[in-house]
Amino acid sequence: MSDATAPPAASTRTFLVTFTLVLGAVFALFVFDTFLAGVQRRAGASEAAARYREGTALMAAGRPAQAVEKFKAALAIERLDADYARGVADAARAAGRPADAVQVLGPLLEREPTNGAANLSMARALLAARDTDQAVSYYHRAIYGLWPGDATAARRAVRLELVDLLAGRGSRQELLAELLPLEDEENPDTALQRRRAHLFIAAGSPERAAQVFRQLLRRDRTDADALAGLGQAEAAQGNYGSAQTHLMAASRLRAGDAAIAAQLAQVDRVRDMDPTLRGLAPAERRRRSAMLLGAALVAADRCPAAPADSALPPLMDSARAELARPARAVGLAAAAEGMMDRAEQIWAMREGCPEDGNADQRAAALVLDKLRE
Amino acid sequence: MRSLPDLLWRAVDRLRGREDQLALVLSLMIGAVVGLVVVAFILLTGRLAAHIYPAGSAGWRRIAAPVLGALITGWFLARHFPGARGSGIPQTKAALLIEDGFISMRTVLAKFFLCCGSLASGIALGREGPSVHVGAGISSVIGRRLGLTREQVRWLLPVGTSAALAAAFNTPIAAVLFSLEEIIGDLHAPVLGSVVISSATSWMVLHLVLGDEPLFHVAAYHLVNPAELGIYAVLGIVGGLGSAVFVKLLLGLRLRFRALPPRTLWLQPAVGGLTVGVMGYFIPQVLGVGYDEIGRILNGDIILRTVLLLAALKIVATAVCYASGNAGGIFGPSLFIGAMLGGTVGGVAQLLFPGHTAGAGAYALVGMGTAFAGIVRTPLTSVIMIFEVTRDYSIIVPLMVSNLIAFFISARLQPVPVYEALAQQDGLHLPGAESRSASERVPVRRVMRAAPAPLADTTELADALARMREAGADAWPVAGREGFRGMVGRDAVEGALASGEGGPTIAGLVREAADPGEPESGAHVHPDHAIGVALARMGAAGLAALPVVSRRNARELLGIVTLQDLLAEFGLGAPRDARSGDV
Repeated sequence: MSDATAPPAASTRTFLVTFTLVLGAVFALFVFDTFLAGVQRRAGASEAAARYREGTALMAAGRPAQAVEKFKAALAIERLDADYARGVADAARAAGRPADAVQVLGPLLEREPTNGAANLSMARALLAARDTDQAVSYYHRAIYGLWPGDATAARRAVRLELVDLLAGRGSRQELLAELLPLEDEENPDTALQRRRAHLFIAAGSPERAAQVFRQLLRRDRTDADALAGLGQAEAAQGNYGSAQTHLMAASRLRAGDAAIAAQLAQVDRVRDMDPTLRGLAPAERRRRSAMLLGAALVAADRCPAAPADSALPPLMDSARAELARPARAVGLAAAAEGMMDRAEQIWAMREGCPEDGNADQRAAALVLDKLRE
Repeated sequence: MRSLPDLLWRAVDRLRGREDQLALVLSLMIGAVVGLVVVAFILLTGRLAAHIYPAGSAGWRRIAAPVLGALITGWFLARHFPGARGSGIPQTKAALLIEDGFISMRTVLAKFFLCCGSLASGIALGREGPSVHVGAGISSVIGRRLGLTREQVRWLLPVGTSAALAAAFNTPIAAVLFSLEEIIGDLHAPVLGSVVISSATSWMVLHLVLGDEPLFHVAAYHLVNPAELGIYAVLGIVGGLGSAVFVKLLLGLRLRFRALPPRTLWLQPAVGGLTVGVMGYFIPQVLGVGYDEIGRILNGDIILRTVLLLAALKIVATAVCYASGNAGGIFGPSLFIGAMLGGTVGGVAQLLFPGHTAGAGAYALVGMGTAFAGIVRTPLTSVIMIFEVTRDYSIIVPLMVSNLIAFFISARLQPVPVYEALAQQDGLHLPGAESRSASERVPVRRVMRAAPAPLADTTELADALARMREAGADAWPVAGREGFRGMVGRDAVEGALASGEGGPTIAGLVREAADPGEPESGAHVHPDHAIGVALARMGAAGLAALPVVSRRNARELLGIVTLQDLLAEFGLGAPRDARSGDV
């Protein structure tokens, strides 16, 4: 304790020297600490990157639950790294924990609200959490967000992902609204054009679809997909003749394609049932009309939602009576007209009932829809 | 014209002569030096730990490293640097209160390097206590080298401790409060300004080097339902009980280690190393201070059984590591234990009341403060510290509820605070924050007695003396035309009678109770004054009894407090019969 006794008052020189030494120590320590902090930062970044790589490998191996832990370890070191946060979120979503993903992405999006990739991850997480409306909102933020590198391609990919979602939901108006900006793309590739055209059909805009398919065919007349697509678009517009022509051409180019064959068969069936085609003999027109009326009756019978106390039952009775009446050579055209009228009325009254799965019924439905239009 | 060195000399001399300016400069300087040293301590410990435990290292390292670390540091601590053992906070208090602020450079260096090695090897102790010791030591060394007086050096210690804690824990306000509440034991200490400046300087240095990163990143938590306060109260009870168990275990184990033969002193820390190593082999989160794990828990990454197990293991690991003589503190482990207990309570609450409680992370957060309040027993610091660590204001009310309950339960079960008890085991009798304020908590109201009927200031000297002799009183209240005036002492009356000076009445001998110029410094006390104030004023007035007057009107006499009654309050003698009204 000798040092604890009252220290002698230091001379001014000692005071000044001590003061200078302390200031020197401050400077030296600052340099040393900055160096150490740099080493620490680099080591931390390196370790975080290693954990991130491990997580990515685990994701690729289909082990998202383990990947979550690796990504979390990376994020614990580099807390502000958006990629690591997205890694945790995407892995958590893949592991069936979308709520965890949303929780991780929340702070990231608070910091970086315009981060396109983070918004996309959030959209996917919300979609997995069945919050589709919010998911759509985040898809939009992702589309208009900032993307590193090729932002156009990234935004297009997000929009197409959103488009697929909307097509799956059957949101035709929203789908069309997302498809239209894709038309402004410069030099879009064939695959994108084809996909966009098919989606136009899903969005209820077969005219635009046909236009795109025609553009594709101008580039390559032997594009079987475009021919089939154009046939589909024409069919959707009720142009079954043109549809048949294009589908047959597509079928010739790609003989074994079951999808094209099925579409062609459907169009053939519609055309076989259509009583309005030009050049049909009166007897044939009456036969087709009777077939349509019969299909309408079957559909109305199978419809549980058809109102029993409406005008439908007497109309159906009268239709059955007319079908039971033998065909005569005279008045075939009038009979055909009458049957078509009744078929249309019955079809209109059963609106809202579920569609029948039978191919003939579906074909009849298409013809009746066409007649109504 | 004077030369530059001459001007410099004069400036230095002037600085040395002006205490306020010197205090300001020293606060800035100590804040910067201590902040940088503590940052170096944190970074060196981290780098060393990264080398001892490289990523994906084998499990045997988790046993070997703490055992070897404890053996090496234990040998140095036992043979060469006994002053560097333990936390450093009791040692700092001892330096401040007993050793005139003396901490040797040797102890500072040993504390720095040995704690660095010990903590990096995985010993389950914290860095804050050692940082406080190092910070205080640096202040002491600088103060002595600058030729300051012993008193000045003494008051530099809290300046160093607040700078150290601000850097070690990234909590500048809590650092100030801790220095005042625990180290000095007086929230109104005259060094408050210097303590604040050094803390702020140190914090700025920390941010300059390491950036603006809080110690823990926590999601924003809110009180989901007012009824949740009940669950936080339960957390307070659990935290209080857990704290008491931890402190009792630590103190009990330490006594047993101290009873072992002195030749085993160097070997004892290895017991702590082995204990934490074996635990860490199976559950690595037990190793070290565990701030990473706390961060995970605070963000709701909780598995109920794991957090409960971690709380139990950490209590044992820290108690054994500390008791066996390793270098390191209990500050950080307290937070770990609290976070785990909080996580457990929160997890159970979520199971019982799903949808009606905040996430378990919120309870872990409050649990940290709860355990700190229970173990370290600085309730104000614990609230502010958690607020600063998390930067989340919304949790403050549950935190206060929980902390106070834990504080009272812990104080009931373990009356002597941990740092005080540790010092007592070392043979040092340091006052804790609680014991220091004990005398301040006893108000005059508790010991005052009814006042006798005052004498009129026109009473003749002989009559007054006769009255006082009759009652056996040393002083008597006197009233004038405007009401109560003050006290007249028996000695003064006897003196006046003997000398024949001062007039025929007692009017000129009255010690006025209230001086209109300085109303608070007169020969009186108020009922809410601490008895210590009464003693001081009795001494200043030379009276063995003081009037107790109303704060509303100093001429309103409420009672009398006598020296005998004050002594009786401390257990010295018995008070006179209060009913008699004797003075």
